[in-house]
Amino acid sequence: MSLQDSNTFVSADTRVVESEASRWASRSRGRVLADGLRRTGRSFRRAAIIVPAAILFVIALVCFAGPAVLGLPAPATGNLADYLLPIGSPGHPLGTNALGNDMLSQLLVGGQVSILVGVGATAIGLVVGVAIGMIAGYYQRVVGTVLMRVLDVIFAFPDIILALAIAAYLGPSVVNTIWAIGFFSIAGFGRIARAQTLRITNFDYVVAARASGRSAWKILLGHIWPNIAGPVLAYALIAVGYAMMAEAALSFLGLGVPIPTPSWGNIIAGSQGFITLAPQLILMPALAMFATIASMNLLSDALQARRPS
Amino acid sequence: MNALIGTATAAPLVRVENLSVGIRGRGGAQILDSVSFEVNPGRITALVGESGAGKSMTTKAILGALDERIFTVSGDIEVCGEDVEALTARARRRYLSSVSALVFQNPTRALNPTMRVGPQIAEAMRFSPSGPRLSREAARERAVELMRQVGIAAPEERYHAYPHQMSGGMKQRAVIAIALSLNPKVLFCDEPTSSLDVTTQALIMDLLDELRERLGIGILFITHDLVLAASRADDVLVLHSGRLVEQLPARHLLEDASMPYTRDLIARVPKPGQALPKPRPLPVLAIEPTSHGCSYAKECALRQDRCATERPPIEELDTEHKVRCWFPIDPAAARAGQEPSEAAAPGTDDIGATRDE
Amino acid sequence: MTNDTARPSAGDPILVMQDVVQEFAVRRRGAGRGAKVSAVANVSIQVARGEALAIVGETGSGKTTLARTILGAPPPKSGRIVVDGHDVSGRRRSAARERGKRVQMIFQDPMSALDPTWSVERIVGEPLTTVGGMDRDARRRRIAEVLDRVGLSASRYGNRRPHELSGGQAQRIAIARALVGRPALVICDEPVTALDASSQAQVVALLAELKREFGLTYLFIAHDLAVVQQLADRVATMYLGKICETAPTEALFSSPTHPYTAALLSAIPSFEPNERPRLRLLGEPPSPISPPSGCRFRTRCAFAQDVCAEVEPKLREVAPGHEVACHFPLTNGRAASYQPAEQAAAAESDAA
Repeated sequence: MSLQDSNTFVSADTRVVESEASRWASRSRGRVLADGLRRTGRSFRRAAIIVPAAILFVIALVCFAGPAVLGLPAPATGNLADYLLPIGSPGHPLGTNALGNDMLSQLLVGGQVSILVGVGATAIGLVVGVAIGMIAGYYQRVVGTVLMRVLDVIFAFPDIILALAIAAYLGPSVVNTIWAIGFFSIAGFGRIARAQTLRITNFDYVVAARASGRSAWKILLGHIWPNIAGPVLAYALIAVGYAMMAEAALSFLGLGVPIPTPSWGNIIAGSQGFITLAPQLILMPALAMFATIASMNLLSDALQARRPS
Repeated sequence: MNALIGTATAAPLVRVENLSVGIRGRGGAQILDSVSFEVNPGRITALVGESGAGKSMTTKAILGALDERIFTVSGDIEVCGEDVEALTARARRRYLSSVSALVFQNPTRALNPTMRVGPQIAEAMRFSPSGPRLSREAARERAVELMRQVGIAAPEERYHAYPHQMSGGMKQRAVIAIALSLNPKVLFCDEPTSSLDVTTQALIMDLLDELRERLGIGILFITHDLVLAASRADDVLVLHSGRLVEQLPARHLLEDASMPYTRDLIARVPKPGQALPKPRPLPVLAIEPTSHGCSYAKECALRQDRCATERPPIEELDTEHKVRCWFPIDPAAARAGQEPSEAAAPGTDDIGATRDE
Repeated sequence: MTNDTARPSAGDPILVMQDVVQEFAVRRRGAGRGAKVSAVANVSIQVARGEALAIVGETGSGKTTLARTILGAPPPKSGRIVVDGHDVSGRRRSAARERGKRVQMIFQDPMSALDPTWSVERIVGEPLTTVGGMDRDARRRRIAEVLDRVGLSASRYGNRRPHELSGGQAQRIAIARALVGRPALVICDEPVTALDASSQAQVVALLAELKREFGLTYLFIAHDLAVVQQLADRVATMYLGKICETAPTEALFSSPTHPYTAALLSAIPSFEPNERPRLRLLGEPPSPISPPSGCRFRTRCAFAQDVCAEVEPKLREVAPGHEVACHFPLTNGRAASYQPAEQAAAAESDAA
């Protein structure tokens, strides 16, 4: 390999090299993009990544498209007479709950809400937290110190209690739940983004770019974000699972998603009285949550083990 | 094939005979091919070669550190009179740690960063199964004494220092102190100065020199630096592609080297005011069987037909000088100025050729 | 306190450093409040256009800090750094932009110097996009050109990522990036130390050829004196943040006058060990937090006198282009003025 390079270095026929180089220099933008995509795609082609990603995709697809495709009844329009039907009942494949609502419909629509809350809250935490963390890691002196102390204050509260306080203040609703959970996940993203940024800013390529007057904006988005994105996104997957559990906890306490809107959390909460009579009412949403969160954690692990693309 | 090196009076500390190391399932691919040498008490034997020549593989084979699922090892290895190949892995480790010790290239990695230096030196003397199992106080005293011996100033204070509080040279001295803690007869030093400054390198070499003189320790010194070997060792062994191609006393290296490869290595050492040496691609680790022909035949400027087809035996030019070459250079002729090394080896003048235009 | 003796060398100076100081605050037990590591202390050097100045010294001598100070990472605590007529020592971004146009650095570890998420093309083009003012096609042509110059074809390597390159190839990419903006000054910080032997020789040859072809000006940091001999026109030795001696390469290697330079050179192994007497450094390197008074080298110098502790020696010329900062410069391995009996004996007995 290196011998060949040195041969091109002495460049036996300069004209050949030049025409090749100019052809390369003038290739189209689309070609460049396609090259990049192919490269990125290749690094994701591994079972450890594909399997959990596929499970998550199926869960999301079923939750969001299922009710319409299967023509399910709305989740909260059950007939009280049909209460607590067992699994496999005609018209209610997963039975009904104590109010006679169709459990399949409850599960799928509840899944929509849970996923929405998990992803939405994490998105808030990610955007705000990563921005704070990257800036704090890049400007290490005054700005960084101040920002980190602010995050420390958020971090100092047990997060579920913080979310409880916010949710109680805002009142129960889906949007408020997202804000409450999103707020407490800012600190975690801030810390991880700052730690990763500190690591990356020590690399010579950042040192060189900074010293030669490249703008902080370009360095943060061009050099730092692509290099911290892996660990941050891996953390985000775990954070989504965590947010879904927090939603379940809040809903369980009546401060999260209010009935009649179902979520996996408030289905469990609403069914606790029937735990001996109809344990499947609790087991089914719990299993759905378990499958979702476990897949996210597995995907997170697999993404972290992946070589940099 | 085992002519004694020099005028060694005592039995050799390490005697390696026909040591071959191969990779399993590669049709007899050889990493080391019939390597034979001795390390004698009070002498520094330098094993010189470029990366991939099999230097580190040799020590690993002696220490039994090669994974048997991957490598095949054959040949006789005696350390201090004991045939270590006959021992079980456990007994071998135990025996070797009682008679020999290792010094690695990077002292920072050899020391535990979370532990003070002194206790690291004392540790082996307290807990090693082959050690004296000294009491805490006795081990401590002895550790301070060892630190003094290896030239660490104010050893009582430095005993409590962490590795990161010491300079690279000091750390390497501490590593040598650990190596000396069980009174070894042989030291295996794998590039012990390659990560250090030249000034520190000189001081560490002084220390090794002193140790072998004062304690009569035999040192197997592995290095890629031919000049360092020539100036600091007693005997020089030149390895090329897993074969020992030349063996001679270091003081005669510059004048008497007979193998064209050794001569080329000498010629490539940069000298002040001289043009840049020609870059040369390194031989790749010999994964293919090279048993026919000389391993250096492809690059040798003096090769003849026989070199490519027949494997040269290792031959004695005199009692101290052995060479594996069909057509060794006559030192007298070389002195007369007919150095072959300036003639470019074929196929290697890629950059050099254009430079001289 | 200043070394005003820095004279303009032949040709117009590309780099002028005047009394450059770089310090770092340390928080360490026993160091006390406000303790500072004096990494570069009042260094004044000049590098002429087309010249390669090598700075040599041991680990901890401040040579890498000096290089990074020129690069503005971070800018100097005090003193002036002028590159090609432009002051680049400021902290403002405008100074950084001036620097980016004129100074580029080749780092020791190419894997740390190349962003693993970027393609070779983007890496090499970065200095151009930082400065701006070049359209995409012109930029791509320039990238292809410079890649070709360092011996890598743009079509084969342009789309690769750093992890798809060998160490030697990665260092060539780093060289290409340094050269693409046609900087006035190229700083090389141990450019071959992290490479294996064969890549080392090739990269050294490449640097030499590029210098000859483009008349590049190098500031070269190295501890491998063999590499220095091959690449440098002039050498400066540095000890504990101070320049000890500067001289044309051959003069420095043949007749070192500073005891530190002599010790450094005599430590290089050679085929004829008795060619010159070994000069050993005494004791251990002092702490850069509290450097010795007077001459910083005196605690390890075999020829140190009382005056060395009191008066700091300034760089002065002992031969044309040969400056030394020593009260008792050596001639043929002997201290100039007089030989103190016991230390001379010590030096004798240290001779290998």
